[in-house]
Amino acid sequence: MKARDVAFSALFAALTAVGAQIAIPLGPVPFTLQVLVIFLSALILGARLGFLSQFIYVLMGAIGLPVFARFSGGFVHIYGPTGGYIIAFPIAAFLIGFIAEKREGLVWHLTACLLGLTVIYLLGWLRLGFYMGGDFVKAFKLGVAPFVVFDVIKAFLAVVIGDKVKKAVKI
Amino acid sequence: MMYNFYVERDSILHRLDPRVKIIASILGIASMILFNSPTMLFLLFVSISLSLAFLGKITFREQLRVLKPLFPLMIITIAIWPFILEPASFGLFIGFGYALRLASMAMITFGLLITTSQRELILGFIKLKMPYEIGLTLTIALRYIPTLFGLAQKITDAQKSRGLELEKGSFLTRLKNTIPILIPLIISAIKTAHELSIALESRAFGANKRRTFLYTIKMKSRDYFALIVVLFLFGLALYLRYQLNIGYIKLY
Repeated sequence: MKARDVAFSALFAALTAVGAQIAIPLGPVPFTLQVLVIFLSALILGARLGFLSQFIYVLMGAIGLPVFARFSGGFVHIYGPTGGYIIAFPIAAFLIGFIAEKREGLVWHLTACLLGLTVIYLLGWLRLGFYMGGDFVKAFKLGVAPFVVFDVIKAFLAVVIGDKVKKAVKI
Repeated sequence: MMYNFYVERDSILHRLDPRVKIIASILGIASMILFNSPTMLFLLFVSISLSLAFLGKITFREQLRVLKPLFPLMIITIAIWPFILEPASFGLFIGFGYALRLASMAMITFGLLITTSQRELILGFIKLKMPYEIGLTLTIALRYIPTLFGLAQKITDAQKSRGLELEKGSFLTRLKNTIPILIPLIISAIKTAHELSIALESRAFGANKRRTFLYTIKMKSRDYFALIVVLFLFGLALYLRYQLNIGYIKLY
């Protein structure tokens, strides 16, 4: 890793930790900006650094630092029912970054984000299903269905923000 | 928010080499996954709690404080299992065990963090062959979380004073209203990263493959002894589980 890699992945890992704490109040379930920042790190940094930043983020959480949503942290959250989503973050970031590097244009970037989101939901859903003793229908109702619409909106938002940021500063 | 849990105390766990503590934590978490019998998980939980209290001088009150944020997750776990397994009382029993498993895992990571200073922890990971860059990146990220958090708050206040309303409107408007906060935040993060990489570069980061450390750690005889005890306990756990078939309940 070069100095630049270290600096950028560290800052974006920190940014993800901050994004996970910014909650938009709406009903009982707080909607955090975690996924939005994951999309953005991948879009802005590309596959390699996007992956690295998310890997560091997950690592921080794994060793117990309170970086996950609602200031939680610890290996429990990676092993626990919602662990699938967390494990998927670096993978999704890599995938999004990979596509965004190869293809220009907002439509491609949006497709990349939606694919990344699919990976997050797929792993999250599988883990939740296994945790609930193989009840994948219930896992879908609890862990996927209520959030999909909002996360798709976040993907749109990420593409818009990513585009504006990239125009404003050189990476 | 606290990002450093380390509490300076004079205890056996505090004095132990970080490498031994890291290995013990990993093996401890692994043995949590090895067993699923609530009785066994309960015994493990109690022994972890007692060893943190007596070897690490972490009071039960402090331990309880760590477990508190985990209560919702534990309650959900206990509540789910009676619906999955027949009869319900057996499901409740299993759910109770799984909740204890979560609690034990939290206690193990917490025990590692409270008895090991950040510097020692990262040094320990590096000595266990984790790439130095990963450790450095982690430290830098940790250092910038409070900074970026404060910055996010400042930007939010600044935009609010310009008339931005975050608590009004539909979800879509609320989400859209985060754009004027996120863009400055990300841009300043990128600028900081630029400056940081120049600072790292100017200190000849990555010039030498082999690194030396100002403070270093050395395994003493008591550390080797502790390592042997840990390995023996894990071996015992494997023996119980795979040779004697103790502590595992077939669920389906």
